[in-house]
Amino acid sequence: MLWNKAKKQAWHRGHGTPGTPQKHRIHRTQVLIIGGGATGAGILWDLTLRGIDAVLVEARELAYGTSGRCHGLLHSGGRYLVKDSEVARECYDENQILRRVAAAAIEDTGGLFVYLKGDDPDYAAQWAAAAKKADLPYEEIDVAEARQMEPLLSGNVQRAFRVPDAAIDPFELIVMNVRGAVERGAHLLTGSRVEKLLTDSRGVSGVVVKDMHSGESYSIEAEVVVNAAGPWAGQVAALAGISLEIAYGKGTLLVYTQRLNKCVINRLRPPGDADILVPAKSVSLLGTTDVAVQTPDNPRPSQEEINTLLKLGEELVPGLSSRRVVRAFAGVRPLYDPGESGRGASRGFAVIDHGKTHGVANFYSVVGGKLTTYRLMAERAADLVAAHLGVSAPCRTRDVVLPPPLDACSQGGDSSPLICECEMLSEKELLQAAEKLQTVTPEALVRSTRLAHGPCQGTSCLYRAALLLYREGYLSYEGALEFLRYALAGRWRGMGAVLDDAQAKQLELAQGVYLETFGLETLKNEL
Amino acid sequence: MSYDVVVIGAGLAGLTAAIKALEQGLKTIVISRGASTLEVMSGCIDFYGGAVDPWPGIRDLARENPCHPYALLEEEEIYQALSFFIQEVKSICPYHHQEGFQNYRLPTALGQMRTSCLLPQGQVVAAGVNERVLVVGFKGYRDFCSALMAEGMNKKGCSWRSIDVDLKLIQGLDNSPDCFYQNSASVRSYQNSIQLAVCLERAWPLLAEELRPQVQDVDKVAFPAVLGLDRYLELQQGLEESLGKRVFEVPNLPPSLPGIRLSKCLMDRVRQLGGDLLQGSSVVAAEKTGDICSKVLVKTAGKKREIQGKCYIIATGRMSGKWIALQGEGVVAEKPGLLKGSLKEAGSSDQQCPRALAGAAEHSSTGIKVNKQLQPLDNEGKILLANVFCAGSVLAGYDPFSEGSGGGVAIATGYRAAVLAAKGVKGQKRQSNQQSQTGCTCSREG
Repeated sequence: MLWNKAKKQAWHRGHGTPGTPQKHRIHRTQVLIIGGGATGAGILWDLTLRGIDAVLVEARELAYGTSGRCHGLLHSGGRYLVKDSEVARECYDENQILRRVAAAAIEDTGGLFVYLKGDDPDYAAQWAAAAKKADLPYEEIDVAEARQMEPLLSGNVQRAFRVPDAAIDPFELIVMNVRGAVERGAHLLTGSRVEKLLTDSRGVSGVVVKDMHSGESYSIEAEVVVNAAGPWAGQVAALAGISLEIAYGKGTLLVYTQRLNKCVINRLRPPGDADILVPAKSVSLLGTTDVAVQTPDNPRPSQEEINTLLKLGEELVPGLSSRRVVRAFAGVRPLYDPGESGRGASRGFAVIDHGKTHGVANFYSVVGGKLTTYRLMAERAADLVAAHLGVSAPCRTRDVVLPPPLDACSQGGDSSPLICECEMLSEKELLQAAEKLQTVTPEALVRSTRLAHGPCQGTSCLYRAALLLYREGYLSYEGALEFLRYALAGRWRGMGAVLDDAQAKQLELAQGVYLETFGLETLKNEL
Repeated sequence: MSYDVVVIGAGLAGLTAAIKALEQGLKTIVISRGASTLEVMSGCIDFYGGAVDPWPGIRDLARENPCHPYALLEEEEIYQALSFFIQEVKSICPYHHQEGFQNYRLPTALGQMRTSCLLPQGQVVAAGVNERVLVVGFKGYRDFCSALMAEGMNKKGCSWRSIDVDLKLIQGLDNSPDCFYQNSASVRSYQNSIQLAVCLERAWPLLAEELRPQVQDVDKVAFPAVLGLDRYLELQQGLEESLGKRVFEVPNLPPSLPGIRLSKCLMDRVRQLGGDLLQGSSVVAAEKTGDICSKVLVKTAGKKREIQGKCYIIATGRMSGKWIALQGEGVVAEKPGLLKGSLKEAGSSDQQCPRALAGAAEHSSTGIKVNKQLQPLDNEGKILLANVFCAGSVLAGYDPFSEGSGGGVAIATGYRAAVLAAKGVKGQKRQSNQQSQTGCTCSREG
């Protein structure tokens, strides 16, 4: 309902005009899910298919957290083969399921694991043996063939294995889950922060939600509350007085200006920094690092991490350190593994029934995990919730195909002017994307289109987009200026981390245009 | 090839320096890689942003930071340089200033206000009281939204109206071969300002006719900065006469017509004064003897050549000029290796967060350290090269964006570099004249 009838409305970030009528305010539901990442969206979809009434509450925007800040890899499981063959198996199975039900978000790129001269040969041998034992379809191929597939690969490659990795667009995946659910009667509330958990004699009975646009708080009653807040799960659990130990592992990724590889390239060695190069639509992402951090908020790439990525990336694909990087970004892995942290920590997940473990009934947390297994996490959580509610309908997310993220654009017939020349985004496409959003925020637009993703990082297109959205009534005057400030700050932050030649020049140009020609006030607070 | 002065860089600083050098009778060449940042900027020359009176701010900058380019200059010299610049561009691309080089305040395309010191003819009308203005946009032109600008100004208490003209409706326009609309229909992404400007050079009388009924109740008429490429003075005058109102342009995204016009004007002036312009060329190496740079190796398409100069003026800009480059590890490098040790490096620890937008940006103040004679210094403060002078944003110690000082520093240091170069050349000439009395060949006379 929200999805299809999104009203044009001004974007008020945190300081909305008082008295704005609250549309579709929801006061009661069976299940309330906290967190608009892949897991939360997956649970919404799963419960909806079982006929359970559910609401997804997200403090900011869909995919704002970890889901939107990863390399978008659909694991084949190879990465976990040696350490934990069970997780590897899980990944492989989910990989196969998602190729069926979420095909619109997946590009079947295939993947390679390559062993480089100088890396631990025992690990490679262990890996090959584990692959055979696990009976996963990993096939050793000629090095010459691998190099033919990926001509940029290092000359030091000595063994190569083909694996069924794929590239998955996390934003599209989440939108597909939410869209499918909303079309079947579920509800999505973005820009709505859970401030309080309500309790009664039977346990958790609902939440108090703050509408971040209007600043108003209101309560939603729910029979069950599911905490799928990813790295913020500890904070949510704390609202119920529960201590949930989440370790934060920051991972930094570099975005190249163009797509360098056809398939996912993994380095065959124990998991470490810069061991993967993932193609993502028109770019390639080099990742990742793993740095323990204290807070899940505002992860920033550090110069040290970037240097490490470039140095190690060079070993995998020579020239990687001198190619043009358009930006860097970081995400936070929520690791749930009491006892261990960092790369040693399990990439597995847990669904916690706080009624059993902490005596707080009607409250569940889903913690840990990874994008590839989001559906399985959702299934497990929904199984518990359904059983709790006495609903016997089985999980159907293995079989029901998700709807596409956006209605197909008038392919080829779209003659509207281009907003962004770097990414060939037309006015019509941008407006279609805006129409689908509840509120037009830079994050959501930048993620749901490829706006500002190209080499110029929004220097031309953000201005044009702001003008267009203003002209078409999606943004007020203040909203358009805020949109620009906020979106530019985000892009400049990402560029600033990788100021080599070309991006330094680009940033200089962007600053000249926005700070001088347009007289846009400082963006200091946003940085 | 041998010159008195070799200017590297054809931006505002380099071209000002070249013109001043030529005016002093020096044989001058300008080497440039390509279009300068001048061509993407608004054409307004900022001197010190923010306050209406820029001078207290300039004095503060100079006092607080002895490395600031303004601290290397006397106020008198800054005045001289600005007056010189205005004089030089007067006939082709007139610029205006206020008494005592006070700042103008003018509206931007986003309906915000900004300040600037020198304004081109097309923009000067925008300064001052703008109570009743009609903002004209063009349908299908992506880079300007008349309604947005008008709303922004109305929120500041003005009474602006906006209108969008559909160029297709202007009779006869779509028959012309280089018409905006024909091009945009076939190649949808090519709706840029230059095309529109060229198109309007022909079609402006029709535009004026279309607008005439709309302008009765306004004082001024604003357009995006697309009123002509070469014939812009004629266009502005024509529109003003035809509409009976003052007309001004509002700069927006690159390519920027006001910037291109100024760039063309300055380059024409260099040629007019007998200077050489070597475009599409970059300096790839340099040779030095002691503290004297003896020649530079210039790479032009397909070949390399050596250029000798008695003096060199480095006016390459920052990152954009590719002379200074930031390398992966946060190290600032200077390409031809001429000035090793003279670069003020960006603090690499701070690189993860460029506060370039507002505060003291590390990167924004990266550049070449110089003395009062604009000669590059090494880390110990010794002169690295005595016959090299640096001008414009290649200089360390200031942030053109947060200070709004880019244009002022460029003109003032460019001017001063040329004055110093002339002194240097004359000094060298005196020496060679003394030698010539003992039988050596005579050097070229000024």
